[in-house]
Amino acid sequence: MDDGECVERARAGDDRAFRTLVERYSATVAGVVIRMLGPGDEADDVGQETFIRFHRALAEFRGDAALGTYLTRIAMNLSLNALKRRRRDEQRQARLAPAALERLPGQADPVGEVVRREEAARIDDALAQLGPDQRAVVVLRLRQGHSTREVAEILGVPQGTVMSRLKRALAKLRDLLETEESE
Amino acid sequence: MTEHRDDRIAHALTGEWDADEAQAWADEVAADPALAREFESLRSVAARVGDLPEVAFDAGFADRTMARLEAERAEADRVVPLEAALRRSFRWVAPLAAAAAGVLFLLNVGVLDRETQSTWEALTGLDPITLESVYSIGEGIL
Repeated sequence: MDDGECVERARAGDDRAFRTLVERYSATVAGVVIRMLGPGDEADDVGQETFIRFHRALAEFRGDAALGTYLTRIAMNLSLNALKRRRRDEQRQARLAPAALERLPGQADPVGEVVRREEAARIDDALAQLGPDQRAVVVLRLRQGHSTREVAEILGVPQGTVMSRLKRALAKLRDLLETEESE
Repeated sequence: MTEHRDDRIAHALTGEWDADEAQAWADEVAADPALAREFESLRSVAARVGDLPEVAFDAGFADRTMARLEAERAEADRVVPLEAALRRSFRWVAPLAAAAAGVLFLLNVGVLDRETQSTWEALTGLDPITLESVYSIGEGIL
């Protein structure tokens, strides 16, 4: 069953079809919300909310955008809102907890696996120190593989802004990683 | 670093060039070792970010999402009947209230004292406002 058929059936009240879409796109949504918010209950909640919002909007969804891009836009907006709430409340720091990250499948090379985890933890920690706008560009462009034009559409900013944010974000990440690696 | 140079690097990092632009950028980098180093260091960071492992929600995410959807529906089912009941009540209460107000208006007009009251004062049930009543406002206080 392709996306269009699933959407049609879900719109008609078929929960199994909607669940199929949830299962199909949960990795896409996770890639946005977990990279933006870090793993944990908040990311899980925003992930669920993304699909609930999509379900509410099924009647209006016309398929002009690819479903993955549509869900990414919802997930990114909700993630940015969550970051604003987090900052406002000052209850938590936007730090990623590397222990909760999904592990790479296979443990054939335990030493290599540890090195990869440490590398991922370093980069995730540096990513968490970027501002929300820069982090959003890095996640959408470098992790989710969206084009500059798509990133601009999702975030509602000009393409030039996307490129300059990407460049500044990478420069900051480089400085953060160099500082950590030199310690 | 000039703004132009930053823009060029930013554009190069996206890799979204046509063939002519790509060649021009290659020439630019070849002629400027500092630019080449800067670009390579940023490209390397981008590659490291791109190589991060995939992340996923904890197991059971679809179950949790569907349960939440069900809960929202149940909540909506509870709220809608309440709203409908209030709307039904209002359809009865509103005409009764209007009829009661009409009766009161008529009663007031029926006992209208035309020498001291206007029709509006009688309709609303207000006491007539006279010079004497204005002076007597503060009597109780003073």
